[in-house]
Amino acid sequence: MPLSGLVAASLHCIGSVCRPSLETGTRGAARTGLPIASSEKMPNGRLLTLAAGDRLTGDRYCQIGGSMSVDVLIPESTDAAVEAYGDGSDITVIAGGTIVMQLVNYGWIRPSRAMLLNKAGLSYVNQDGSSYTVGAMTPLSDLIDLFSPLGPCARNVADHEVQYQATIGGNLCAPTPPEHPSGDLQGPLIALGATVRSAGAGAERTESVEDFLANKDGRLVLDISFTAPDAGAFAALDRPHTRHFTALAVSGAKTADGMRLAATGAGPTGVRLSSAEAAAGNPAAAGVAALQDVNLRDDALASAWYRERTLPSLVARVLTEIEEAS
Amino acid sequence: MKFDLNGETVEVQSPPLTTLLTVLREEMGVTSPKVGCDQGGCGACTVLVDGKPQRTCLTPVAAVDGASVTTIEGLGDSEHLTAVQQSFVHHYAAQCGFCTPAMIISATAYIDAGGSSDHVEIQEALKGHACRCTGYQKIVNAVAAAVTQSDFDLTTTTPTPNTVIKTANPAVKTGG
Repeated sequence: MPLSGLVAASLHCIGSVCRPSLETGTRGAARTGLPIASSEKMPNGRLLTLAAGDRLTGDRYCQIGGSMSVDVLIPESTDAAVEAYGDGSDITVIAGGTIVMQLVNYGWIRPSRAMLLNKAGLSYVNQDGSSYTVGAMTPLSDLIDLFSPLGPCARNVADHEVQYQATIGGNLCAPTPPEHPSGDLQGPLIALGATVRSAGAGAERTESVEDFLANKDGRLVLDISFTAPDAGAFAALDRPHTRHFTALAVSGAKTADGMRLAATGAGPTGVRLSSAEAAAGNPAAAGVAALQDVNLRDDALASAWYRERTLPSLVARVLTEIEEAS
Repeated sequence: MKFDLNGETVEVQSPPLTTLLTVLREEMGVTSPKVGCDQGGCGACTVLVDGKPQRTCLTPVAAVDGASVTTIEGLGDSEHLTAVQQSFVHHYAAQCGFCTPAMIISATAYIDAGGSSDHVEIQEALKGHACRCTGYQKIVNAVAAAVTQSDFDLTTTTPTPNTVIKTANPAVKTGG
């Protein structure tokens, strides 16, 4: 197991005195039989580049104080990322960084091991006819021109700079902070009936977005697949101060199998609006029915009272737009 | 780890999860990216990473290993302003100046990508930037003028005009 070498090396580093990395790298390599291509001495924390085929090609250190040491793994292939992730214990995955780095900056989390996926080959949009497979590290800026509801939802997230940085996988896995809901893309992906391929303990798994969200701890998203609907629509509360979060949004997608509706901001994660789907023929009635599918919350962005009064109109707007388009 | 900062290779000594913003300001001494909200909302820390505008307060420095980072120091200097910088001067688009470097960075990326002089589109392009001096109209005017370069004379605003915006793609010139 190459990782045992990394862990051993990292424990060695956490002491108050950091040895030159060449020595540690050699020790790690000696334990695992891995070749170390190059080594350079840097103070505090470490940057470890994991090449394809589990090879540790760089073993680089930096350090300020021994106790603040952090190992940052940068896998250079998807296989290396999956192996480094393992069962997901004691590792903080950083995709675009727009959520996690806030927590790091404020000191709310202090990872001892983190993994950056920017070189793991997970940024791609593969299209085959109307079928799409999108890599977990694909930035939202690559999605904004896609069909509704996904494209307009991605365009509605924060601003251009954040859209260049934030990723579909990171957004799907957005934690639910106590203050407000997040995970803008969960709604459109549920509406599209998307499937999520993930790695982690046990084998690779492919499942619906709802199933994934219900059991996402210890999973590393690899890619997300969906099919373009016959017609789709997206509607969100358009309030400038809520742009960095999702106060409330509704997504709809119509296919040969029928209408699918989902809301973001109505609960801790995106939620499917099954009762509204059953009444989809009548937009106003469907809007009222949607209230049965959600457990609306009070937070700083909007009160439950406000959400209760706006959700029906968003649902009705989405259904009307789809009706007009099809 | 190393990255390219305004055309020069720099080596980082800070821990790998330090934000690029902290590394630029405190390790490299490049202070044009400002510490505003520290959570990606105000826009003042924006720089170009491989030609695309990005929030440095949300970027761990390890993520730019091997990348090219351009701050406003890499766009022009007082003798050789870019068209966007000249336009900001000409249209009095800076008041206190805190948000200005990041505004110019994002405006530069907008023009590089073929942005138009339409005021609504410019507002949309700069929506991630807050200006507490409320100088929005002059900023939008300045960006629109930089796109068209029609309502100010480049030759009088600087002794040696340089309309080339030096970004990751040196072949790209300002629009108009």
